[in-house]
Amino acid sequence: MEKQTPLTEALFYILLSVRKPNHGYGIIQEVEGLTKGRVVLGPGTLYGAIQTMTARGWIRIYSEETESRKKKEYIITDLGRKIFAEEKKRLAELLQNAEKMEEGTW
Amino acid sequence: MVKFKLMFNKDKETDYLNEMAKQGYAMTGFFAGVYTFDSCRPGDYIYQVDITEGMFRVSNDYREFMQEMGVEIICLWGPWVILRKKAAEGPFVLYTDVESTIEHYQKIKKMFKIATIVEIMCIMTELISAVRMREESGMALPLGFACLMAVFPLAFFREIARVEGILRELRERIGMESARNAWTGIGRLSGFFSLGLILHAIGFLIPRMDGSGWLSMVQEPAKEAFHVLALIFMIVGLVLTMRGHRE
Repeated sequence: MEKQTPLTEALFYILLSVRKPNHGYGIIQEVEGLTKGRVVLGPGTLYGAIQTMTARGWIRIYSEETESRKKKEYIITDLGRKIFAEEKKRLAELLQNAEKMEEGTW
Repeated sequence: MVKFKLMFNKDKETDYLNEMAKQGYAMTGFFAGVYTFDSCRPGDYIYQVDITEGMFRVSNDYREFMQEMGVEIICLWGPWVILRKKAAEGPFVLYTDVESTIEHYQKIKKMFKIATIVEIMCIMTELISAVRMREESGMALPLGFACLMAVFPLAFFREIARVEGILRELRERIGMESARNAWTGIGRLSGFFSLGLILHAIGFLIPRMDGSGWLSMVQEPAKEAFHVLALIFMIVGLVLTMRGHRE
């Protein structure tokens, strides 16, 4: 199995955006909002990420169809949450160590 | 409007389609190098070219996804998908981070490698059938086709080398090592070499005529002239390629 963390920024934010059921366009908007417009996912990037994460079992399809409009919704799985938690731990360590920079030189 | 253009470089093709759209021509179809255009309001659409796993088809997943994004699938050609979006709906870029762009170009490189192998096998078949011919006149046709077909692997090599260059730059940007390889060298193969091959093919494909008459008088020298010219072009091509390597 290939190394799965650190997550790419795209995977990280997509996982975060499907903590509750969300569809493709909704994910793009949420990520854009969370990053204040810094990360705007292109359709190719998002499609590839969804395919990869579905195959790895990090996310799954939540609902396929809603009456007339076909709109797939995705939601994070338990495995996805585990991966995200590991990444969060790693990021926390980075941030904690980053504080040392303020302690000055010795 | 109909235009003929052979393009192997997907980035150039994207630029071309967007330039046409800017001038009020929206691409609507493609078949073997022939692009068809409808008129549109200048700048109405943004075009993008994607590559998928399938040939001449995309998965339902892909189709539904693009539809939800407001992206229209205009046509499929081999593994290529030509997409467009209304410019009024905002910017349209398919791959927005380094990681997915790397994946995209890796797919393209793999496709060109497979295409090259298939093409070389076809050339071999032609050459074998040429060798099997007893008479010289029978050899001309397969030899001519083999020369014509050889132009494609050369174009594919250039593409592989170009894509390899892009990949190296992208990998460097995220601190990934990329293995050194020979593609860049082959990619600099001069265009003269391909031209030589085409001239050879024309030389082979000019039919040999029996009997007298001015046509048959002209034909033999013309055939020879094409072959000689072809050789000159190929030698120039090789020399230029070597020079390119030294620089």
